[in-house]
Amino acid sequence: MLDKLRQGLERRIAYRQWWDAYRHRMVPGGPAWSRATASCLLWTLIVLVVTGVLLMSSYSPSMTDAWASVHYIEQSWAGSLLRGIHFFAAQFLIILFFLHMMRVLIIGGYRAPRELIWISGLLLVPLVLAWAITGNPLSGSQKGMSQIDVEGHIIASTPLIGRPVQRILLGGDQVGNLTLTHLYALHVFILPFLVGSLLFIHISQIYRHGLLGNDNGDDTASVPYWPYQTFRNMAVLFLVMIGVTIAAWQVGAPREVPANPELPATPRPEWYFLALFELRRHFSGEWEFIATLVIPVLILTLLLVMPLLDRWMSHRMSVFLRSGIVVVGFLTWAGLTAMPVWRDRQDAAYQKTRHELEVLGERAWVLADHFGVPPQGATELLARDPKTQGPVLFRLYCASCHPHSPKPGEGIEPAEPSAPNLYGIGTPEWIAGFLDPERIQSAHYFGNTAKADGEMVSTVEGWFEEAESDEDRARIQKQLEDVALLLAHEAGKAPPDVDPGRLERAREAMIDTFTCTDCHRFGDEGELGSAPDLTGYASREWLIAMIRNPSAERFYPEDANDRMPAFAPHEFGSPDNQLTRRQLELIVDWLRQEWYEPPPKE
Amino acid sequence: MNRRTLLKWASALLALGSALLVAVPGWSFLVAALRRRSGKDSVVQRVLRLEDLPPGKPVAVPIVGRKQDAWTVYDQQTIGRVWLVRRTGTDVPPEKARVDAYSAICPHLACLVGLDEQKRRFHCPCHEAAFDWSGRRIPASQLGHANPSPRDLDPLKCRVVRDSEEAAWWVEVTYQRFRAGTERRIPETV
Repeated sequence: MLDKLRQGLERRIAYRQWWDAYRHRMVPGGPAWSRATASCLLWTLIVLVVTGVLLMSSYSPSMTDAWASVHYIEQSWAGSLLRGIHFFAAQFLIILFFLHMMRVLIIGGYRAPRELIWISGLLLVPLVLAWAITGNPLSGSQKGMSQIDVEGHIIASTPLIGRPVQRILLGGDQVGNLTLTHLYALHVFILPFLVGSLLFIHISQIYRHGLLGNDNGDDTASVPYWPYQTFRNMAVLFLVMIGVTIAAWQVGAPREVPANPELPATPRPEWYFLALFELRRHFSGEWEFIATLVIPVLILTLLLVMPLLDRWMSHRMSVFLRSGIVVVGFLTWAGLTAMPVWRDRQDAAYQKTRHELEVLGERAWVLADHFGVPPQGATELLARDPKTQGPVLFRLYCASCHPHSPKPGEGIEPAEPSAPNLYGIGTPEWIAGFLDPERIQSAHYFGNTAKADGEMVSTVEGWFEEAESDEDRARIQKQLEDVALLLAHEAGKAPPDVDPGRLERAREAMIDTFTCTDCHRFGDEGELGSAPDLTGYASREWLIAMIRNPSAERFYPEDANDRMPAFAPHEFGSPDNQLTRRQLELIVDWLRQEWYEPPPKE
Repeated sequence: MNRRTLLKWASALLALGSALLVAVPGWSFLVAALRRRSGKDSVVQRVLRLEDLPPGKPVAVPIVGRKQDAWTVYDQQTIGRVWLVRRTGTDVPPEKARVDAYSAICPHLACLVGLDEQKRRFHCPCHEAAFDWSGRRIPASQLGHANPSPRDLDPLKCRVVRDSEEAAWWVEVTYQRFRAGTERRIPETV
């Protein structure tokens, strides 16, 4: 039955000839582990295509979706593993590709009649590298997008054709949606198609001319390819795949911060282009294309004409040249690659930026895990995150006067602080410090302001001056702690299980003992007009209103305001406001330490 | 077993092992949708003020909610449509008013059913399923052709409630989805 099926199939598609062509090949000189480079390259390429097609099934090439869909892929163990395999197999492919080339060069595999194998293989070099670099920006990461931006400008620096090629590639002057769709088309269809076509020539030529023996031409010990060489090929492939899978599982493909023009760019090319990156340093201005184009093309041309050169050279001369190319080529490449790596290691500023971007990348990941990505895209994750934006906005608008520092030497500290330290504003501890006669005069609160010798400070001092004994002092201290708790309760920062009776006693003390409501309004007591309203003190709404216009009647009307500017006194949306509603909310949420934190990892 | 046979088997096993390293996660990744349970069982939503709903005549209202579409999360998006029919007149006090709600998703192949005011029917534009204004299937004898819908329109829980300030009466719907194409109502996620 099965035999009949086989015969029928054989009659129709003659599959046996393919299988026979494979297994009846002879390996001159016997099987060798070093020969496995060819097979391993082919199968790694197939692994890349298969994992790539699988990833395509859940990937979306657009500026809003690319990063989000990659994050989505990474959420399942299978997607994460596939992306990791795709990434590490690609790195490995490039290494293996150059090893394979060196091996063929050393054994003289380019000689007649095998020139076409050599040439098609060499033409694969730029194609495979282009294939690799068109993949990196697809993740929609800051790193990938700034890489393609720079690469676009490198292309543009090519005389005559550079500009139009850059514009076609990027889909305009700037990196954007069209850049991603263009790179995607190149990465998943055009380049694979070109590579596949050249591979077809490459492999069919190998079959036509058979395998090359050792350089000494001794092919007495020919052995069938199947299974002797096949076994070595498959063993190497399996080891490689185990290694790639472990790397994918343990390390994973990079998870970078989403592309965002607000972020600092620290573009470095991938490791395989670092040598050209270094070379470029030695050519300036309009001559850079010599490093980025002319030199690579010359090297490729030298290798392409090796079959010709070899004819005119003696055997010794040829061996010398080939060994020279391999040794000098590798050392030059390694040296050029090591230099920028070494320089970046020494460069503290670069390392700091890299580290900041890593932190932001992790943060974006955490936010996407928790909230999902909004329709505006992954950039929005960090843009609406108080933990990320708060310090940025605070430094820009607040930190010329206000510190935000848990203790000296930490957090944000202006060179000349002239306003209260806002770290922990609204918490019981912060308010308790404010009501302490020693600390209210310190630089932490009113020390550097016009309020240093104002009524608030003298009132706080007065509470303790009236105390006659240590017991009195302790009692006042205790009451003030309750007041701090009550005001923190107004801010929404008191512990949730706070005793209501305690709060009520504190309210009475505020009115009767400490006479706060002589100046401040608090709920139904007191009047506005001389000191800030304590109703809802330091709550989100209170802080936003305060920053919008501190001179409003509710806060420090007229002369009562020391120096704080009004950041949004007009209606939201007015171009005359310094801060938008969203910026205010981000600053205030950050001051109130309200942002999403993931549960601690176990 | 000689060395040659051993190597053949070893080659095949190594190739299989390499293939599995990609095939296992690959398969799991492709069929991930089978395991994915997204969304909630139902969404309770106030859809319309009672005073805006005329007695007797069906009115279609959208159900708006948070929607996660793979990697994108929409805060406010239409996630369903519901037909409301106010059964009692305006003379009945709101607390006694009766409103029926039907999912606008046709139980046949999940197109959205529309309104045929002349014939007082719900009518599905896709394959001409038709239902009366109580959601019952119109029999083939009246329709002139077989009614493709396997069941009546899916009724949804619906009640008339007051808002928190007790200022207005609202129609509140518990929105659910059911599998299309089956006689039985099999709940799905919203």
